[in-house]
Amino acid sequence: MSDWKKSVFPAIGVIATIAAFIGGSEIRTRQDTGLAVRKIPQSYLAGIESPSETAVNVPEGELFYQLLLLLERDYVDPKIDEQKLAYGAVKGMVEGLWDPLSQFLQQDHFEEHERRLTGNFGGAGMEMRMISDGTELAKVQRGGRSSDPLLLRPILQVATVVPGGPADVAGIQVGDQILGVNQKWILGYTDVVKVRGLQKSLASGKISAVEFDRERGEFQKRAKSAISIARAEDLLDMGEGKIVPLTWSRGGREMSATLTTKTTKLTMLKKSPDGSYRLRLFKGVSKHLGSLDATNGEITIDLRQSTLGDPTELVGVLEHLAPAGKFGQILSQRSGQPRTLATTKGAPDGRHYKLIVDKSTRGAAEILALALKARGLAEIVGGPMASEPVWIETTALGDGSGYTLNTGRFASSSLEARK
Amino acid sequence: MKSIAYFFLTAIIVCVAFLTGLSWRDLWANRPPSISAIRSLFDPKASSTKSPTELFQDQYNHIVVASAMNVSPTKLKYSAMSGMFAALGDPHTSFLERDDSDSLKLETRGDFVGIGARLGDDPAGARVVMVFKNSPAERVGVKGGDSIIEVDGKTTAGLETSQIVNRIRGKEGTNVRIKVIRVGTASPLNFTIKRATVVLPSAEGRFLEDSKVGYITISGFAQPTTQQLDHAIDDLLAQKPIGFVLDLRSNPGGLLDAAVSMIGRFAEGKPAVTTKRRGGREETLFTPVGHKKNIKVPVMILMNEESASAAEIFSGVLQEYKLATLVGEHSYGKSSVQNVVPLIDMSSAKITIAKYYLPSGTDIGRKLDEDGEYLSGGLRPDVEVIPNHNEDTVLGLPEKDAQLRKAIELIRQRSNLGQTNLRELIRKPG
Repeated sequence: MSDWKKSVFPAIGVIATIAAFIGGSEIRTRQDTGLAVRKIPQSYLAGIESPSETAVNVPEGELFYQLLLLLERDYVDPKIDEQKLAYGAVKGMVEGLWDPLSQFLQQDHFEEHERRLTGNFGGAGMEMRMISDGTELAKVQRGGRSSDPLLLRPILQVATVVPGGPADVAGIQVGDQILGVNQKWILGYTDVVKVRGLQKSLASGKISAVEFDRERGEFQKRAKSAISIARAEDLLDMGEGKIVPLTWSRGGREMSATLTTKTTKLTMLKKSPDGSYRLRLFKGVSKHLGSLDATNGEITIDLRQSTLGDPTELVGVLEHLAPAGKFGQILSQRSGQPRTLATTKGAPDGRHYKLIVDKSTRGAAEILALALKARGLAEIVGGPMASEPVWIETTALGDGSGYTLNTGRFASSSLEARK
Repeated sequence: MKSIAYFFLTAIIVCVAFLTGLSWRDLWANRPPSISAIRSLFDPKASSTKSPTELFQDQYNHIVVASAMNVSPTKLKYSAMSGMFAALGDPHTSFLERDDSDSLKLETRGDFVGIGARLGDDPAGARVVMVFKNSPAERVGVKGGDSIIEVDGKTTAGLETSQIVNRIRGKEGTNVRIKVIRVGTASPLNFTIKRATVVLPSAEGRFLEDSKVGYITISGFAQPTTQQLDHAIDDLLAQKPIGFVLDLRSNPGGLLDAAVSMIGRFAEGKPAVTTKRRGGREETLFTPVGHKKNIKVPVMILMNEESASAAEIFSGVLQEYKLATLVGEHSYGKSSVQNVVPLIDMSSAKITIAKYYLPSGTDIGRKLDEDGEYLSGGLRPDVEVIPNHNEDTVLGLPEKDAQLRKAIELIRQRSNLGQTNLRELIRKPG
């Protein structure tokens, strides 16, 4: 064998070995990440560890994967549940939106959410909305930092009361604020505002330091026996047969009662003796909307106590109630093309509706009312609605948890409605 | 023949290299190679479930487009990473965004330029927990228990304690104006304080004349702390105390080695703390031999919920060896070691890499219930004393410090002097 052959073959062997190693690791990475194209900047071929003077942007999927590797190597407990970390990341994103209408829901809460979309309400039989200090919330929503994070602690306000449910029986009304559960306080931003007010009075000399210190002691005492929002929701939103002492306020007046949680079922479509229909946008309602009878040439639909409802039913419902066409748009805060709410099939012309609404008409039902009105098909009767015509999507995750995502508000545009 | 043998050998090496490449991730994480990775090579459909990265990426892609909120993709990305770390359920493992990791560097620095006071949380701003001896704050008359409501004319309302600390710190020699409220004083007090370099005193002794008790505050565990403790003990022993009170309240910990060598002043050549790293690697630190102090009087340790880490090791070991009695509140429950890994996007990852265990094998790690409220963890005091918030408390002054008072009372009960004093008391009125 000649000399050059002697050196070339081992060289090919070494190159093939290195290539095989790199190829193997690359295949594994693709298996693990599932990303078809991975563009790895030269600067972090060796991983993402290392302090640097200038920040190198790492795309989200790559960062997640690299951090997963880092935790696998370094974290004290080698048994890391990677799926759980992925769901944790989703939870982080949903919470990072700072949107009271987008919520990550653990397994039990998500099951309850899905049951509610079919009209079965557990717990106290109500829907609550979380309200934080508006200015402070807007600041973090824009991606800024809160200068007073305590002001972000939400308060719980009753948004819907399920008729015949435990909350309804106890006399709770839409708009009431839940103050405490199980003899524990819910510490919300309103309490913090009170303390801040005292601080201002102190600074301007209206109250003495001694008085201030006493009030502050009260606040700290309450803070120590506070219940978290999550735990309060656990008690109020789910389950049957639990005895829950509850305190709430209406217009500054405190009230309390002890409820026993139970499941309350609501019908999605029911005809009343007076010929009107009560409609709620639960899953499957569009299939039941065969033909609605008119009295005096007008169909009366009661949209009160409607709950948030399922917006995916909306298109089906509109197909039954209105002629095909555009109704309006779902607008979000981000720039870009808004989505259009429109139907391609429709009911024959000439129908007219009378819609009965109040402040418990929200979500999908409120969109329905606004959409029908925008087309001049309906007359709206009753008090102002909740002003929450939001399109809330529900996403299920593989482990039984899931999240709701506020994708925008409905806005009718009369120009477009005319086609 | 020979060349065929070489060919097969090379082929085998190439195959091994390929498989090594395929399972480098497992080997790196110190676990057996994944069989499913090899299996899915031959049958790509075998792994129909989505990988965690894909799962996350899908939801990211959905939220970034569909959400009604005007959130920036970068913010969303970092929210995700924070959530990912939070899912581990360990309060000390966290993802730190760029801003957060900057302030972390500042905090871990040893000495600093400031006014020389330790601050604690308070809804009104920050509460002065302790004023260091000979510090600028002490010179102008700032006292423990004062609440800082303004710094340089700006309100501290709503700021976190760390942010207030950052406002007070600054260039050496410059002035900072603070406004405080003090219990029992009708109007707020104003102070102008010249900033100076403050070296944290970590162990300081004082002889309490009234009770003849040696009182030592240990506020941290740094390199010189052991030596400072030696001086304090020697000085106090010369004055023949009836007991020692070691004050480790609000001691956040520090160097583990310092804590172990300090335990050596009370117990020689004994196991102090076992560190368990991942993969079951264990390391036990023993206390040094030849430094034991001749202490024959009762020793009390004061602690509270802000006593953490090395402070808990120090107290817990002395408690387990029955060399000291713990008085006060349960401690924090920090029983792990963290490593901060800087990342190339200038964020960083703080990861728990090891856990501490006391000689008895106890893990004092803090556990929280679903409310995020304290459930268990930390050392249990032998004698519990919860301070009254509304009381005017000055740490280190027996007449204004209920926990210290209790410790002195216990020392008296355990020493003969307690009885002598009683006799004296009986005699006095007569």
